[in-house]
This record gives sequence, C-alpha cells and structure tokens, in this order.
Amino acid sequence: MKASIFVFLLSMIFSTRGKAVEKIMESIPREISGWQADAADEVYDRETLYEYIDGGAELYLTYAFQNVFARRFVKQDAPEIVLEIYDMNSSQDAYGIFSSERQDEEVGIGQDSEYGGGLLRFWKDKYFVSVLAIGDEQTAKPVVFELGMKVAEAIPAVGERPDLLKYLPQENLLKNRIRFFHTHTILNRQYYLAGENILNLDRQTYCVFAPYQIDKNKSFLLIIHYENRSQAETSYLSFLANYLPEALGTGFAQLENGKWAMIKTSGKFLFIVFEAPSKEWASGLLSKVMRGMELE
Amino acid sequence: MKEKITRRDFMKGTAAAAMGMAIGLSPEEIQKTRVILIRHQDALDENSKHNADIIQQMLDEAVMKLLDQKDAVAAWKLLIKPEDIVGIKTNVWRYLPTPAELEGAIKKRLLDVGVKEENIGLNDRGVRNDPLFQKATALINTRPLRTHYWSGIGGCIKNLITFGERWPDYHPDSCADLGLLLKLPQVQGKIRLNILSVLNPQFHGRGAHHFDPRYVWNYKGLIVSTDTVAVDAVGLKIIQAKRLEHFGEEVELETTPKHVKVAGDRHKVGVSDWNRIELVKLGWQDGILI
Repeated sequence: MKASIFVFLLSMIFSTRGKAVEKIMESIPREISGWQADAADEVYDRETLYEYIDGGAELYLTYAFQNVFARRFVKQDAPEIVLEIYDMNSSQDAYGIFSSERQDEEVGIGQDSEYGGGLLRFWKDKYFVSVLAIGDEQTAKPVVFELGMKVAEAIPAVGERPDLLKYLPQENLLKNRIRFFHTHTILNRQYYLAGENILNLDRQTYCVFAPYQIDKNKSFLLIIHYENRSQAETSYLSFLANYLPEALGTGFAQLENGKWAMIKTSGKFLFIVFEAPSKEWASGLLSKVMRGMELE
Repeated sequence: MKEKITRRDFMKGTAAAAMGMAIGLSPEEIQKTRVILIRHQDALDENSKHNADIIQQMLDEAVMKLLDQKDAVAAWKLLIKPEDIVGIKTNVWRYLPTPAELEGAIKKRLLDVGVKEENIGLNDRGVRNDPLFQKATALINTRPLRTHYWSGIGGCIKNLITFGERWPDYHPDSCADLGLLLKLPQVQGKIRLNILSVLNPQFHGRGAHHFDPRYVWNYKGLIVSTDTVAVDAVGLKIIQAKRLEHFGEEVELETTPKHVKVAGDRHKVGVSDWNRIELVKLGWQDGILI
C-alpha cells in the first residue's frame, strides 16, 4: 500500500513538473496575421518520430525526447510556417537539443534562442521549439517571431541549464558552439573521435563539449559526468589504450598534427582537452575547471 | 590487428589501411568507373525555376557520353529494353525533392526506348509495396544531393533506404552500411542508371529537418553513372569543396559520410576510390569546384 502511494505521489510530481505540450498547443491561436492552421496538429512520439523527421530522428532519440506537436500554418501566396514543440522531458535535454546545432545570433525568445534562414529555434523549461518558414523568409519573419513569442509566453516555467556549463572557463570560450549531449554518436558529430564508443558514453552520461578560440585555431574541452567513479576510471583507461597510449602515466601527449591532448579523471568526472596549442595551455585549462569544481 | 579506428588514424593517414585490415580487404583491382558531371548555366533561372528543356538536353548529353553514343535514345537502349518494367526511384523530401523536370526527362527517354507507359513507375517511400516496383526488372535511381543529418550526405546510396524493411537498421555508426541496400533482392543488379541532381544541392543543414535555404545553391549540374557509389563519391567532393569555399576553412560535415567509402571498400557495390573514377566534366565549367 505504501509503495503504491509512493508511486502515485511520484507520478503526480512528474506530471505537474512541466505543462503538458498539448495544453501549450491549445493556447496557441490557430490563426495568426492571416496564416491559418492547416488541418489537425500532428503528434509523434519516440516510436513514430522516424515518420516525421527524415534522417534526423536519431538525434532526438539520444536525448530523453517524449513527443512533438507540429502545426502547419498556411496563407495563400505566402510561405508555409511550421511550428514544432518538442517535450524533451528535462530542461537539460531541452537545452541539449537546442545546443546541438546552435550557430546563429541570439534573438531573445525563451531561455536561449537563435534565428537564421527562416528558422527560429529556442528552448524554455523542458521544451525545445522550432518555427520554420519554408519559402520567402522576409515575408514570414515577423510572423515566425510573433508565433515564437506566443509559445514562449505559453510556457510558464523556466528550466535549469546543465550543471556542467557552470565549470567552463569563460576566457576564449565560443559560447554559441557549446554542446550538451549524452552519446558518442553525438560527440562524433562535433568532433570525430573514434568509430567505436571508446569513452563508454550512453544516455546516462552527461557531456559538455566546448570550443576555445586560440588565435586562428580552436581547442576543445570535453567534460563527462558518469554515473559512478568506476565508469569514469574504466573510460579513462579505455581512452588511453585506444587513443592516447603515449600518455599512459602522464595524461598528455603531442599528436601527429603538432597539437596536444590531455586527459584527467576525478571522482565521477573525466576531462579531456583536444587540439591544445601546448601542454601548458591544456594543463591550465583543466586546472581552472577542476578548481571551479573544487576537485583540486 | 588494429581494432578501433580513431581520429588519430586519419591524422597519420592510416585510416584506409586500418579499415582494410579490420575488414580483411584484398588488394584486388577494380576497373575505372565512368562518371559524367554535366552543368548548364541555364538549367535554373534567376528565380531558381528549373528549365525542363535544358535538363533534358543535359541528361541526354550525359548518357550519350557515358555510353559513347551519338544519339540519346540509342544510348538509353543500351541501358533499358522495351520489355523492361522500370521503377524510377525518386525522392519526395518536401524541402528539396527530385525536380519534376528531371523525372519527366527520364520518363520521356524510357518511352522513347519503347517501354510501355504502364510499365513505368515513379515512387519513393512506397517502393516496397508498389506492385510495379515489386516486379521491376530495371531501376533508375535519382535524387538531389544534400547534406544529411545522420549519414553525412544524402545521395544515390541513401536514396535506396526505402527498399529496406526497417530503416533504423541502417542507422548505426553514421549509416555506415547503407551500401548493403544495393544487395537487397528488390535492388541487386537492377539499377541501370544513377542520376544525382546537383541542380540546387544543399551543402549544410540545420534544424530538425536539416534544411536551411541559406545553404542551397544553384550549381546547375547532374552527376550520372551506372555506378551508385561513384556518383556519391563525386557528389561528396562537390559538397566538401563548396563548404571550403563558403566557410573559408575546412569545416567537417557534422556526420562523417563513411557509408560512401564503406560501400565501395567493404561491400564492394561500387567504386568510392577517387583514383578509380574517370570523371568526365561537360558543359559550364565556371565554379565547377572540382
């Protein structure tokens, strides 16, 4: 009996944590500046997302994606506008999917946003939102923004960014290029490391990948938070064995391209610097991170 | 034997060797495969509208050159017999579909060869259950070239995924094994021609649907070959060259399009090795990039 009450209370907590995406869609007008919603909203979940996104569903499935509501707005002789609201189950993953291909300037909608080429992307609470105009971008742009702002207003709560972001040293950091993700396939999209999963990443690992601009070159910091210390240590050894055998005992090595790589582990965390201009730079960066996390 | 291929193998220039060792390749020779890249300045107008007559002319010239013929219909007759049942495997992706003008040009030549209209089918997502495709004796494989979220590029190899029973089965490891699609019973030995449209390809993508009009450009070309893998290898070169031109530096594709190389090296369903491709460039040369 106690167990069933506990399960009930737990389900209540989770069901009220974020406003249901269908409620948000209901509060968005079906007519906006002459554009009319075309037919019923479409809904896709983890099983059916492939039917909706040709080739891109895998990205969402590496996060805790739950479902997406899509509504098409049409107007004669004007571009079609597609609104999509993705329930990512947590604010961290909403941020993660937003970060996965961020490249344009912030436009001030939701918690982080960008606009370019007719596409408005932003995240708020546990939701990732996309508003895409297909066709004449300039005609549709004011409506795309209006729609985006209405959705942002309809999401009352704000969410927490991933904790790992707090520990990134800010100097020379390319903030619009930070990525948050879980699996090695997404790491390889940012920085091809290996065909196989040599860092043992999965949906339970939390990863942040951050580029730093040093003169004309870029260096990269990868921080991984594993479920436990043992996984971090195993992955540390796997990385050394498969990628950086020269670094056994020191943690750093100069690679064939003249750049330096460095790895450290502490507790549940693994820290790797790629493409560093020198071992001193790599070491300095990792020291800043670990001091920030009070790990040294 | 080295088991895991990493970024360092590429730094050392040993990735190909490592991959070969890992998969047990033999150093057998494969003859050069011919690929035609044809471009025409007027294939699209200033509003990006496709010109059907010019596209027909480009396709004819490409097929003639491919087969060393002086007449387009004669060249097509080397590919297709009047009694063939022909499936045109097109692509309906809403943001950048195979141009109707290109589909029309293909169909016209099939009719000219003598194929009965009722024996010509056009399909994309429904090919597995399309009665005509189920009994097809020949396939024409055509689609536009674009970057692709999960496979690096979407070309003629990727175009065959709708013949697969379960598409996600081909998704692991950046869709590395898409080449296996060419070994499916509905496909194997039936592709007579591949036409990769580079009339207005996409060299970079964004958003859930990986479409961004800022990265679509009017290249005004077609890549034509009987070799599915080779047309994609040429297409990949064009995409990479355009990205270098646009971004001013080598920006890696978000997903390494390893399926092109793997299709050639591991599955041996075509040629991906640039040294074994005879690339014939016809028509408009300005900004050809390769």
